Amino acid sequence: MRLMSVSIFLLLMWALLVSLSLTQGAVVLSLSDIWSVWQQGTLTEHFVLWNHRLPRMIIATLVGMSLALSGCMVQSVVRNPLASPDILGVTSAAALAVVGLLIYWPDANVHWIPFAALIGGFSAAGLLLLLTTKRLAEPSHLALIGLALGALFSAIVDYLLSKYPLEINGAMLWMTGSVWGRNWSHLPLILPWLMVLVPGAIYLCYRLDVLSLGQEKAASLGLKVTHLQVVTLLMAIALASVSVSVCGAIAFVGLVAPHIARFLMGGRHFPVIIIAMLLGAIILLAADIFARAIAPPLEFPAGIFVAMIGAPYFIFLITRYKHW
Amino acid sequence: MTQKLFLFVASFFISTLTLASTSVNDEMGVFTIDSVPDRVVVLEFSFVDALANIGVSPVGVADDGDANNLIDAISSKVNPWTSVGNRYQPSLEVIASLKPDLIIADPDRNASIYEDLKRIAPTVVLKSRGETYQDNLDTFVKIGTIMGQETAVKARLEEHHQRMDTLAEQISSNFRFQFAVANERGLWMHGPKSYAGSVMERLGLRVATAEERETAYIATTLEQLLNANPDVFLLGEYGETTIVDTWKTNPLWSLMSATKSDRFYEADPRLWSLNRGMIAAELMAEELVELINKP
Amino acid sequence: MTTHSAERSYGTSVDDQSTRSNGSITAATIATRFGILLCLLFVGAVFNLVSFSSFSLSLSDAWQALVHFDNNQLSQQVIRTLRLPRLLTAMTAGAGLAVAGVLMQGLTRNPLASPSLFGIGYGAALAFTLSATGFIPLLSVIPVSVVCFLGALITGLIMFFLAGLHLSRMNPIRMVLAGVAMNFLLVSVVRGLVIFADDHAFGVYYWLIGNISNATFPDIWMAIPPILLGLVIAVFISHPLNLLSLGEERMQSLGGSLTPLRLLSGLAITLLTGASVSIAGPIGFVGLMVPHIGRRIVGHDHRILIPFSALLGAILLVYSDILARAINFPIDTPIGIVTALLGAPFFFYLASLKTRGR
Repeated sequence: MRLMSVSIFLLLMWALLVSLSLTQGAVVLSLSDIWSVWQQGTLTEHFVLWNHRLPRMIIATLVGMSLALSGCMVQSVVRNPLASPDILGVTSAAALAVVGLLIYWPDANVHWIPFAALIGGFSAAGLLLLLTTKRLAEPSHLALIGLALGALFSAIVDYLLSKYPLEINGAMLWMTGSVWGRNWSHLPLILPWLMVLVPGAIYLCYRLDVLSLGQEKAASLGLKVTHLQVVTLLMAIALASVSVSVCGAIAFVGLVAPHIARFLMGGRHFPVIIIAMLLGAIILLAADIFARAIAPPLEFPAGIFVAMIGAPYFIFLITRYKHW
Repeated sequence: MTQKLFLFVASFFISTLTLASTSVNDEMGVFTIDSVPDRVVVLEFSFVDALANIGVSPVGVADDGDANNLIDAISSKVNPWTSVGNRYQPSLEVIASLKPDLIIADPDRNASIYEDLKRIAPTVVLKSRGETYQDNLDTFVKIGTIMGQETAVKARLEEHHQRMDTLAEQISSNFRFQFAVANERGLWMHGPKSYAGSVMERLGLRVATAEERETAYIATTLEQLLNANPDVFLLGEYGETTIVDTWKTNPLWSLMSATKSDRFYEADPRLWSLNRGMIAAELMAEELVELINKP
Repeated sequence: MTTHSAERSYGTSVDDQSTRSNGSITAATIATRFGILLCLLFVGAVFNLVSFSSFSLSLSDAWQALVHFDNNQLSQQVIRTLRLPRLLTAMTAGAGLAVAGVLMQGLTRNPLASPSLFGIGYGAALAFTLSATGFIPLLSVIPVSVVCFLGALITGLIMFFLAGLHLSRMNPIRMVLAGVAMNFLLVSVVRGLVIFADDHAFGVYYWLIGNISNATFPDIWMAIPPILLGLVIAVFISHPLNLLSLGEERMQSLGGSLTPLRLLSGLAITLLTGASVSIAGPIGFVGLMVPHIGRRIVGHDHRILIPFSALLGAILLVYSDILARAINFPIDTPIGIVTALLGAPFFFYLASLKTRGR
């Protein structure tokens, strides 16, 4: 019941953001304008609405959901409150792949950037699983190795950027994450993954609840613990890599959305996952609206506003939370 | 038969004359446009310089939200424009609402939105960020061709080279020159691969960091600055106080050739680093002449 | 709740294995290990003064520059006015960040905690960026180190309340989460400003990675008092920190009180990190890495661990600085990149040791 009411509230909030997202920006439209543009718009309005705002809104929603879900899955395996997709080293590996591409192959087609990020992310994940195969039962080990890989990759990125300072702005932009300039062509990069992985995650919810009782107990209840952990992590990695490949390394959504969802819903996985995905979508969509409507025609990277919206609310929750 | 052939040839000539389709090689391949554009949106500062030189005013400029980012010498030559936002993330909505018939974009910054830009208007992608003096002239010729002003371009180029040559004669010295920018925490020398460095080389001057051909901006400590030891040192300072204020109190500072012979000058970083183009290059050369011939 | 079980499993992991592996260290071995460290520091310091220069510097130049300084000699000038402040900055910042790391890990009982988690480093960074990019013109009048230190202090103060250090019942998880949130917030704002700053971008970026190439004496004189004060406080609270590592209940039953400990460690962390960052930039990994190495070598007793980590941190940065000059000679690489490149393999080492102990 609580799940129902919270999710309806969040859905309404999301709908409100959608309407803001379609109407606000450098060119302000009203809701009725949207209808008339649908009927017969000038070329400009048509472009703004259908080639620019609508795909951007959809991408922000999907990436937000995907990051939040990834965060839930990582946190259910690595039992550290700091756990987020970032500690798996996936984000930094993707960043390294992209920065490497920008620096060493400046003539490469920009359409390769998402694929470079995806390959980077998956290679890092492969390396991570390879290095931890024998000790998957120890989440803290996984976290340390993931952090180590991440640190190594970001150190190399820093080194490259200090050698080629001209690329700093572009790389920084990518590492902060932005929904600017995303269009319909990015949709096939993320939608199919979500259509498979979201039902998959829901299917695993019950098992993850059992896992949260502790590894021994879960094993005694007949759960294949290691198997479940690997599958969950792979899903988390896929979701994180896909999100990063589309929008750049947007941090914080994957950490904060699951935490907020848990503050609201308690420990069971199913409600947490649903609410976290809604929250992720809301946070990123709101961030993108801020990013382009706060001082038009200036556009900021949405990644900045993710933290500006997410962090204060999160801190507020932390200070209000009674059960410390 | 002959009549048919004649008709065909004639129609071919007529069509090329009326359509006047022009093509240039840009960073994405070959760019072709059928008519001379009228409403131009540019996404980097240096393109404004190029347009100003052939008397065209852009309708929109990615000026980071502040028209003062362009030096007066350039902005006074063109009509006021609409800002289309930051250079790193120009607003597609504003660009679309300006209804341009040509967009000039930079390959580094704008490649990711190339498809979107093309949907708004024909888009030519030309080198701007990280360009050298010669790159900039090549870009100017291309922009002139697209605007259908080959003669004006030729004349302007000739005038520019004459001007640069005259100025170069007035400077001619054996000094080793160096331009650098500084903030509170560091100093970066602009080597021959940077715009300022390549303008100095165009003027026949020796750049103190002549060996550094790979990196445009060289991170520098006081130790390395002493090693480069320029005879004429121009500094563009970002901020009220910079690292150089601290260096000035160090006895080593006075050992540098430029300070020994009192040839250390402050320069406007907007002119020397931000605004690349022929107008900027001429102003830089004039500034150098003035500094060198100071008693 | 998941977070609570996570805390339990995490809170004990460091303590368990280190007490097990280091139970039998005698005073003599500890003295020897301190001695080795001092020798290493001395060798590194000398080498740091004369190595990898565009000028040829010799050991005798270094000796002359320190003992009877002749300001007509270029090489002695370089050593005395450029190399010496750089060396001192490396040592001071290294010691400061390392001890801040020990306190942070001791206080949160989380082995992944480091001073950067508290957001203090990026608080200083934000202040620096605001001043360097000219967004707040007033800031550019104040010396930049002071601006950074103020940024760090303000962040420290805010974090103090957000983390709940003023409450009688404080949860380390709350502290860590609040720290992460704060850090992310500051990082994003700084990144946004850097992207926006464009032409300044590389200047700010260099500093953000951590860079001591342009160290000066006035900055060091300003940073030494807060760092010394922080070190004194750290030594002063080392015994209560030992008690805390047994768990909060045990600590209270043994007569230790939590609130003053938290107040003092919060103050010490802010002073140490703030002052270090203001002279060296937010150098990563020192605060994370050094406490772990320290525990491996001298065990878990904070009374020994704190001075030992201070030395170790100084050594780490002195040698990193040499490497920073060597990697891409004659151009200096920011020192933060070196510590990060060293830090990453260290993690692998740490992870492999952890499992071998089990």
